[in-house]
Amino acid sequence: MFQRHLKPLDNNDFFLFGARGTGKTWFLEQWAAGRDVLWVNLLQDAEFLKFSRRPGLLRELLATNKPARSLVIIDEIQRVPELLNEIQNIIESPETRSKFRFALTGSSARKLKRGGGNLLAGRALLNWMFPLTHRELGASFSLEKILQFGSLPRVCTAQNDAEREELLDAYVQTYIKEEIRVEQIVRNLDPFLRFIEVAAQMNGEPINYSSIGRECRVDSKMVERYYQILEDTLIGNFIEPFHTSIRKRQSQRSKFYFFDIGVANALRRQLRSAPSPHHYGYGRQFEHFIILELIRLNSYGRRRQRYTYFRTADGAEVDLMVKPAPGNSSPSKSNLQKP
Amino acid sequence: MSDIEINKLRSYARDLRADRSLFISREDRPRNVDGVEILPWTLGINSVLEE
Repeated sequence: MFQRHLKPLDNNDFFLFGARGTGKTWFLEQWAAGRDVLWVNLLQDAEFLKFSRRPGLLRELLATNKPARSLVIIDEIQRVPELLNEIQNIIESPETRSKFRFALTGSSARKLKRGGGNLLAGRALLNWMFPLTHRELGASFSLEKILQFGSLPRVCTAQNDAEREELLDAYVQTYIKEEIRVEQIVRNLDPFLRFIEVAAQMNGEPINYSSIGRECRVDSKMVERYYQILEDTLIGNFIEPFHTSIRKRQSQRSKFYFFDIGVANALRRQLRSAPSPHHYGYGRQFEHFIILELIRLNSYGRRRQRYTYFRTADGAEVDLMVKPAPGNSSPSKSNLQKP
Repeated sequence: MSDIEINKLRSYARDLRADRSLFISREDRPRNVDGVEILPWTLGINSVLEE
């Protein structure tokens, strides 16, 4: 398996957010090896039912704390956001404050935001897990494979391309089934299915909500809502246009990049065609790859850089403007362009 | 990308008062086009992250 570069800071409670299949659970299994852990997996129906009916059960379990455990891992916390209130009480109570450390994973921020999830009032640090970076892949890295299949861990360890295709098709189906249909995020699934395919085709392009709306036969407000769903369920990131004025920045079009190239290719049904370096699409996928690598490594390295893009009136474009974290250097910008 | 386009982008970088502009390529070796250094992507990524 691959050595992940995520390093949660010691002695802090933390969230670990990341899309499904990025390796959060596997990472925590390695990270927690040798410690006494109470592990709650809310993806399992029995656990989900138990804790959703009675969130206070967590406090009761920890009050007896037999066998003695000091680390509590809760997988997919967004499925029972009410547990966060219990955890906050445990963290704030003088009797239990220093007894337990919590690690909480989530593959969607949507329910936490909308379900009144409190993110523990800033007491827990936020960490993010992504598909594998080129540094994590090391000798297994192949640019051509990444541009076709992305770098979800299971996809990277698949035996052959046919298996990679099946895994990615299944991933897309699971996302739609689990995140969208079961959680009832959208009432009418058909327009969303049309939207997500168009959004994948428009990956990395400035978003035109009206034109996408026309193509999906929904209004532009609904397209905005759909994009928000993708972002909340950690399926991608917005990159805003660069402008020194916040007002002008808001009036220009953001871009949206899917979190994994293979997933984007599966959604736009392009898994079976390997990208050719002489094709226009290759350059776009290479740009997608570089931006994803920077987002991931920026997060793992706690660089706190801010990324925007810049496009002139005549269509010339700087793919990425990089603003270093405050305090890292003068308020400066680098720009990145691929020839 | 042509030399003209690279020069055009350099002038935008100046207009934007960017500290530096960086061109990256999928190729394995750095090359120089009209005084502009084009970095292989691995070096380009490292360079951005060091900002």
